[in-house]
Amino acid sequence: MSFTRELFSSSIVAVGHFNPAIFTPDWLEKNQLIGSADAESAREKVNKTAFVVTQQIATFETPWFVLQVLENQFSLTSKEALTPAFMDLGVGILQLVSHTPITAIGLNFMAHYKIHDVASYHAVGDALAPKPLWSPLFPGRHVGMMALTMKVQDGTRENPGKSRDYQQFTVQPSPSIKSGVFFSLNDHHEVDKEEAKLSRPGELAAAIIDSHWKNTWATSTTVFESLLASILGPQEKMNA
Amino acid sequence: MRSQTLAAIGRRLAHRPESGSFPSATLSSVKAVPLGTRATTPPQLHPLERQEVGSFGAQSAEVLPPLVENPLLDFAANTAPLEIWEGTVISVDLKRGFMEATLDACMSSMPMHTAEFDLEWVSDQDMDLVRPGAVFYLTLFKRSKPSIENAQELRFRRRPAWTKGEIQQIDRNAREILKKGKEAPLAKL
Repeated sequence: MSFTRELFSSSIVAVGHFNPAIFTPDWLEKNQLIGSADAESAREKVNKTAFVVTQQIATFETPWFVLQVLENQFSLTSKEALTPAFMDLGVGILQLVSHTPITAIGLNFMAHYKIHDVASYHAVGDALAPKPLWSPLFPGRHVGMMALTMKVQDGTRENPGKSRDYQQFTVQPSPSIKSGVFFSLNDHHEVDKEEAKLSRPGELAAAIIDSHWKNTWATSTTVFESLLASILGPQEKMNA
Repeated sequence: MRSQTLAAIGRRLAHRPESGSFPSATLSSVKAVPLGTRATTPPQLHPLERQEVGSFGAQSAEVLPPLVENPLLDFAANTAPLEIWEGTVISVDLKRGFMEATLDACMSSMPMHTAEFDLEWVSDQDMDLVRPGAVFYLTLFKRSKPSIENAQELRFRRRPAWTKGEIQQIDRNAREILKKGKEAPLAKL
């Protein structure tokens, strides 16, 4: 087995116009989106994220998520084990603020893979950024890949599709795992403006999360591991 | 959430002859299987973890900036899921302190099966959610920091119910949409 997934997390980001002052642990608890222990935990001073709620910003963390709301952005980041309960929380919050003008949703998944031998680790970078293209330009110097981002969207180069949705895949050396590779997927969805006039934009945004999050999770794992398998060879087991 | 061994998390798995699609299994036999809007926590290279070798190595702490800057968030993942089951409560015995549930694997093709859970595995804040039909997620995961260990978590699903006002609004929206549609053509013989 040449690689194993070591770390995995997700975040849900919404772009729009928010009122950070309403996003408090008490508000989430009152609306039964979190339990009393989580609400209490959010108020504790020992957290890495300070508990702040003002007109401009709301930020706090519980044992399993970090919430940060600015006037133009909502961000929910997973902590500890990622489960579909995280998706439920994102859906639930945006349903509660259904009138909030939200223009776009980003479903993000991040993974760190450990590559089990140095040669294979370098093979990943060499495959994605072929050194024969770069090295002749810098004789006697070391050239290494820092990051690669690919954008996937409907249509072709000559005839782009009408949808403004897209997926962005990024590959970088992992800062957390020695000889590791970091992958991220940003699954970007625009909230349809015409549809938002008829329905509530917050509910539309919640529906996007509800209908796409699990598939995006599956896509992220499939793409990340297919890339590694293509470069390093097929795995008997994908993850230990 | 308490951290216990995998074998201790389920008390007993029952085979239900009347629902043949739920073959018996033991949790101890469950094997780990391979589970703008851009995330705004950029991976920050720690000087001690800087990669110094070969063509994939970074020689500086420079990383691409995220699409949306978020200097307040600085959080790193420390787990990876190994398997997740979506459970549905079948019955609850508060006197004995157990609940019976079906378990449907989310990350593998493991067959659906049933299990009994000691209610001590349910956190105090979730106890009022335990009822027949309630959904929970049972997650087996690997924690890498501060030390490597396998752990599990049981968390009940929380979704706000539709309010009467929301349902009424949906009806109004539907009528608006229908008004804009053309009348269906009548078939002529």
